[in-house]
Amino acid sequence: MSPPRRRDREALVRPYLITGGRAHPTVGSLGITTLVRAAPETESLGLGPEHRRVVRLCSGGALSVAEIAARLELPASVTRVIVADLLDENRLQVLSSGREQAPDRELLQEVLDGLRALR
Amino acid sequence: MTQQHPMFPSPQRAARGAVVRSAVGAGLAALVVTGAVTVLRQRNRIAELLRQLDNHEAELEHLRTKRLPALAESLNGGTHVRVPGPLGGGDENGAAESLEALVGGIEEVVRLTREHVEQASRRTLTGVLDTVRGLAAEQHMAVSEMQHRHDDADVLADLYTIDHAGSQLSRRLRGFAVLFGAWIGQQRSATLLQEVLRGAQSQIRDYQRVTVSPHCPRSLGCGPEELGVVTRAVEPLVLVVAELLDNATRYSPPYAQVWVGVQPAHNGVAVTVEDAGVGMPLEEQRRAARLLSNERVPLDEIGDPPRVGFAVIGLLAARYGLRVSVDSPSSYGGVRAVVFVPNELLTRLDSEESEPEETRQPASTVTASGAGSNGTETTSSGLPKRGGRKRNAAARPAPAAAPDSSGSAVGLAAWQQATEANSPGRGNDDGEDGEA
Repeated sequence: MSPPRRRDREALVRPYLITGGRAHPTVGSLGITTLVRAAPETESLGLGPEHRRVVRLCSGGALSVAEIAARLELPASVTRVIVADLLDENRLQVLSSGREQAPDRELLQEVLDGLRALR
Repeated sequence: MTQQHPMFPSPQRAARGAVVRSAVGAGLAALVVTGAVTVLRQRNRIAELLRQLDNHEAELEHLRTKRLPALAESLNGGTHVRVPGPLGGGDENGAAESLEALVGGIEEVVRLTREHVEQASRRTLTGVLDTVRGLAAEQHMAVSEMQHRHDDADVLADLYTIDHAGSQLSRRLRGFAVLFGAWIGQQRSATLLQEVLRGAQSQIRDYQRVTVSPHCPRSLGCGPEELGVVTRAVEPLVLVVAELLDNATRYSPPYAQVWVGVQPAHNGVAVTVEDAGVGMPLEEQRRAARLLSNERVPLDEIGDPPRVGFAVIGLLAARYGLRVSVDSPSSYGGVRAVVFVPNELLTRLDSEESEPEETRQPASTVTASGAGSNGTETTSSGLPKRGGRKRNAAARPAPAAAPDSSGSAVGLAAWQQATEANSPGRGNDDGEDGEA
C-alpha cells in the first residue's frame, strides 16, 4: 500500500454520500488486508458508481481492502462499508481474510528485493 | 383757488387763466385716473402673488407631507410605492419645476450614497468572508484527512457529521461569495456530470432524500461515465444544483424524495430537479422569477434571515451561460426546476469504467477496453474528447498479479513486467530510466 499522500483538493463527492451516511460495515470481520474478488458472472447493474468500480476492480482478480481504498482514493473505513455491502449482495467473495498466515521472512525479503529492483 | 392779479386785470388774461385752470383740472383728473388704474393693477398683482404664494405653500406642503415620504419609502426598497407628482396649480414662474428638480436631486444624491455604501459593504463583507472561508476550508480539509487516518467506524460516524456540516457551510460561503461579487472558490478539473450532481447532493442537509438518476442522454454520444463538465463550469453548476436541491428538500415533506435527472436538450443537456412537495407559494414563485432574472442583486434583497438561493442561482446562470427555470410543475406534484447546460460547458471525459480493464490485462488487450462505449475521438454531436481526470492512471500497478504472487519471485517478475508494459506514460520515472 502506498503511503498516504496529501490530497490536493477536497473530493467533490463526500464519503458520507457514497455510503448513504453509514459508517459501520455490515460485515464486521473485514480487515484492510482481507482479500476479496468479484463473484463469477456478477453484474454491476443498479449499483452506485463507487460500488460498481469496486466490482470492476475485483473482477480481474482478488484485491485487498487497502488496495481498493487506494484505488478509489477513499478512506479504508469507507471502503470497508462498500465492500461489506457488495459481500452482502454476493457480488464479492472473500478470498482470504489475510490474517491466517503471516508471510514468512524469506518471502518478505524477496518482495523487498523485487521492489528495489523496480527502481 | 386762482386769484385775480391786482396789477393786470385784463380780459385776455382772465381767459388764459380759465384755460390754464381747465388744463390743470384735466391733468389732475388724468392723474387721478392713472393713479386709480395703477392701484387697481397693483392690487391685482398682489392678489396674483398671494395666490402664487398659496400655491407655492401648498406645493411645499405636498412635497413635505406626501412626496418626500413616498420618495423615502421607494428609495428604501418599497419598489411598489408610487411617488406622486407636483400639484401644479396655476404656476407661471416655474416654482413646480424647480421643486421637481429638487426632488430629482435628492433622488440622485440618495442613489449615489447608496451605491457608495453598497460598494463599501461589499468590500467589507468580501474581506470578512475570505477570512471565514479560509478557516472553513482548512477545517474541512482536516476532517477529510482524519477520515483517511482513522480506521474506526465509530470515529468515522462522528467525522461524517462534521464533514456534512462542513460541506453545507462551504456551500453557504460560496453562495455569499457569489452575491458579494467575489471569487466563487476552488477551481476543479473537468468532472463527470454525474459527479457534479452527486457533489451538489453532498452539500445539502437532507442529502439522503435525493436520488440522482444514473441515466444520461445517449444523444450526446456518451454515457454517464463520459459526459463531463468543463473546468470553469464545475463549481458554478455544483452550486446551482445544490441550491435547487436545498430548495426542493425544504419545500417538500420531510419523507418525500427529490429526483435529479439529466435529459437531452437542443445544443446541451437539461438537468431537472423535481420534488413532490406542495409547490412554491405564488409570492415565492414571483420572487424566484425576479431573482433568477437579475444580473445584480442588491444586498438588502438578501433579507434576514438570509435567503440567498435564487439570487445565487440567477447570478451564476447569468455569469456562466446556464438557463434556469423553476416555473414548470413537477410530474410528482411539486416544483420542477430545470437547468439548461449548453454544449460549450460540456465535454467528453475518458471513461473511468475502462480503467480496471486496462490495468488488469496485458497492454495488448487495451483495445477491448473501449467495448462498452463507442470509442471515437469525438461524440456524435461533435463534443471534443478531452483527457479528463484519470487519477493515477499512469503509475498504477496491475492488480491481477498480486494474489498470484503466493511465494515466488516468478510472480513478482511477472507483476513487474505487467507494470512496465502497462504504464507507458509513467512520467518522470520512465524518463529517467530512458536517459540512464
